[in-house]
Amino acid sequence: MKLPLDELIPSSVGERWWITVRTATVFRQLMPLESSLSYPVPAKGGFRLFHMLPPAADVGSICILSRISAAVPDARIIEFQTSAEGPLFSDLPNEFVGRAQKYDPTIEPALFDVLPQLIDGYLEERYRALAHQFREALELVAGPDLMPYYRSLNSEFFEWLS
Amino acid sequence: MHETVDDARDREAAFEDDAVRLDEVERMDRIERDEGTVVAVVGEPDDLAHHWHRQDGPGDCAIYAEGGALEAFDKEFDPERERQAGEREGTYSRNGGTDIAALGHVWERNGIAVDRYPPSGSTDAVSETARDQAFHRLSETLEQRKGVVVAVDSGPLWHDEAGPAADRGHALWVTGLEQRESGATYVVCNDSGALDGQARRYPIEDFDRAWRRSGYDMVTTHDSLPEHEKRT
Repeated sequence: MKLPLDELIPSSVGERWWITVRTATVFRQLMPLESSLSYPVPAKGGFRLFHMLPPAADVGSICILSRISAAVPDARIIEFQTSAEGPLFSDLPNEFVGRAQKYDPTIEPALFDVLPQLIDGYLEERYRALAHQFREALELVAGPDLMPYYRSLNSEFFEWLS
Repeated sequence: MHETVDDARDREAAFEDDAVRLDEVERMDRIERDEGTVVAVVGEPDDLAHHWHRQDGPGDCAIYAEGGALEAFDKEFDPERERQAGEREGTYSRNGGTDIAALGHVWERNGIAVDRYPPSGSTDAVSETARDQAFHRLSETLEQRKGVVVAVDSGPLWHDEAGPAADRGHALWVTGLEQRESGATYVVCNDSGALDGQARRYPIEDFDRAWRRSGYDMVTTHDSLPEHEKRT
């Protein structure tokens, strides 16, 4: 059987960075298969994320397992803090009941495609409109229960936008 | 009254049956109507469908993905025994599920040798070259009639016209590849997380998006399934 591999959409640079974090050895050794990674939030010289055990249904218990910073261009993990070390986000619990993050193929490219520009031109005025689009897309997939965690990942970025 | 974390856990332990919205019969009818009949198959997806089981708990996908194939190797599959063995190993918990690196342990505990194909851990892990190698390896392994379990994210597989799906790591027993008259290609899986998960067809585009998120992580049995599993 000839597989139609040429017709598959390749990963964007932003998606590759994201998956590189997920497939890093330190990550694979510690984390359950059922867990999932947040979308990346731009930061100076890289991006930040958190890692969670989501509910099996749309709403349920969400356990934040770790908080990660990675540097570009190789998506190297430079900070990795787990919930065993204590609260990962000030004023936010590591475990709570909430709505799961969604996968939406129509929105996801808006998060990954602009990531290199938002990192390269971090907090630069020329990218403000792009950053607004990123935030709007993020709010749609993250939902109201997880957005506070995203904002807390890099408050500087979200304050700049507001 | 607000639901507590413990309440939510109890409810999830019962594992709600609304995880997948699309009805499988309707789904197959639509595939037949839109894509035509099957013109090529790799593997024995329909023969292996009767080894599908719906998983008990939200963290049991790896146990059930491997457990179904265990039956195909004429071994008894006892989910509770595997849960307890995983707990003793420290690679499984009822709330958290199976460690990523422990994929294949159910087979190994039951005397079935495995081959592992973990991601490279670099930005090349999901390059087009890595993707092509992964799919060719998958196809070859299915041709050799071996058991195949892959790590995926459920979101790209379970979203549908009704809307997006909650995203979560997941394990699937891949039982075949199928091509239709239209040229559409499906990856056929026994999916323990889906309501009608036996021989469930996923478009290769969705499957790729789901599989790439693990860096095309795959574990296979070293040996082929017994011949008697071939029914057709």
